Amino acid sequence: MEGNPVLFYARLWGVLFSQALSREMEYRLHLWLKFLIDVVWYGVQLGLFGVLYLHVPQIAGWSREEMFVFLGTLFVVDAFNMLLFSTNFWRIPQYVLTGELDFFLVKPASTFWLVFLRYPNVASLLNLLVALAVLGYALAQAPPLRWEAVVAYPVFLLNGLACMLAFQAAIGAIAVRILAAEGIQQTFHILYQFGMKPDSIYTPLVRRLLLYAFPMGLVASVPAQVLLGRASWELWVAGLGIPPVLLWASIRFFSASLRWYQGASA
Amino acid sequence: MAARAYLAIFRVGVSAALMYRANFLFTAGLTLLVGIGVQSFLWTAVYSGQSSRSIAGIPFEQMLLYVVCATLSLSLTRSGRIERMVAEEIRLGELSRYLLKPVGHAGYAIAMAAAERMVTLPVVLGLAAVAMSSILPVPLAKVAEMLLAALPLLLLGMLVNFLLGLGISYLAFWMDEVWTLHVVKDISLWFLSGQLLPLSLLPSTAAQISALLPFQHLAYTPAGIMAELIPVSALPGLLAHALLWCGLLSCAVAALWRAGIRRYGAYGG
Repeated sequence: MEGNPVLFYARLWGVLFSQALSREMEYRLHLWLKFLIDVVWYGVQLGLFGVLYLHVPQIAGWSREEMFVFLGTLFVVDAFNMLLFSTNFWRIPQYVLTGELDFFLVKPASTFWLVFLRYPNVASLLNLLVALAVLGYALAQAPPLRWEAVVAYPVFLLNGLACMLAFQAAIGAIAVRILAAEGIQQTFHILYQFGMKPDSIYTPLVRRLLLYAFPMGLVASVPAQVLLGRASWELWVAGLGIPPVLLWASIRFFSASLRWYQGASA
Repeated sequence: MAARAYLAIFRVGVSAALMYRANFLFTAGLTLLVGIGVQSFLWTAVYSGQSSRSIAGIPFEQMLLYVVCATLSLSLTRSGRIERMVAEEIRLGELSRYLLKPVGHAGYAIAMAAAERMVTLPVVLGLAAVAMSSILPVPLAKVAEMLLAALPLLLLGMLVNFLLGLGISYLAFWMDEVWTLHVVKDISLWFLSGQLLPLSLLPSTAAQISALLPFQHLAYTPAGIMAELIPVSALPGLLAHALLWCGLLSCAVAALWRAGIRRYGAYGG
């Protein structure tokens, strides 16, 4: 690799995205159906809270408008995760079983980067637009925002995404080790369910666990609270400090797990 | 002769389902546990802001029991590994082996799907009984009565979902990929079946529409009976409604099969 690594990987991702787009254009109906999956998921979440707020004015201190900011944040982080990492995460057992991982190991780029970013999900780019529209609509209904919250929000969104990648990397590392890993991969989606609701619905103990042990609370709940100006100093510190450390540790763990990989294509 | 063949397929299906019991206990068990846990936290938070501890006339304990029973019901009625595999068999040309054997394809699929669900049915009923006797609490005799009342709805709910899934898989006669449609169906069912909230909480027009649709029998009606949100006296009407939908869906699936099999082609061996 020559020159600036950020530019190199940005250009590489651009090439991979255009390849993915060409593939998807061959099956356009499939592309629209994949887009529909997440739109239906957004609809279910919005529908659930929309109905709940017909009967109660607040849920765990969140008004209807604030809850929709939380949901918009969740959809945006989720759409980025789907666009960048999710398809790749589910392919890891296949890479290991078929020996496809060999090709990533010998290429002149980071193996971790290739494993988690090789196949962008084009349909999720459309989902990202829908997610941004939901967030925009929610913010238009929400109380006025403070400037420091608006400035910090993208950083917290990025950190939420880093948390999701860190979890998938850690589970991916286990998948490399144990081969038949579909069940283990499901644990990510099971744990993710905790992140799909604001952390204030949980008991103090569960909130601590979701902040420090399995920080699913940092995915959407903390960024939304920062944006709405209701985050405590503890949430600011945790939201800024934990995701980079978690991601660094997960990348190290994943790289270490590659030592167990023996190849399958010889 | 045919009945014996389907019984044999059912037995094979039970053996196959039991082969994956460790996987079931880990993934399905953990999914259920976390799903019920998160829903319980949400509903506790919803009720904790209320002075009356009642929403739309439903007290907290009854809602909690409903949410647990609805999650258990949907986990049972929604599982559809067999129906999803049918699409793959059509795509890969493996359907040909059913055409050569003295069993109908739909009959084979329903025997396998029934076997898959019969393995989980006692687990779900047992967990529902524990929830009913601990959350409200309901006397054991009453628990048995409620479960017996909900059982036919659960069985019809399984059939409704099986027919929906098989119908989607039969679209593979025309489409390359139908797994996205299965996923869309499964996600929609969280809401449409009443797993996330009782359908009686919907705005009146939406509630009236949902009462006409078959999805309520996957979670809302069986869980409603178990949690006493729906009186047992409504059971005959609900059973008739579910049976009517099973009939309609069976006709639609049979029509799809007849049209699809004319287009089907498998080459090589």
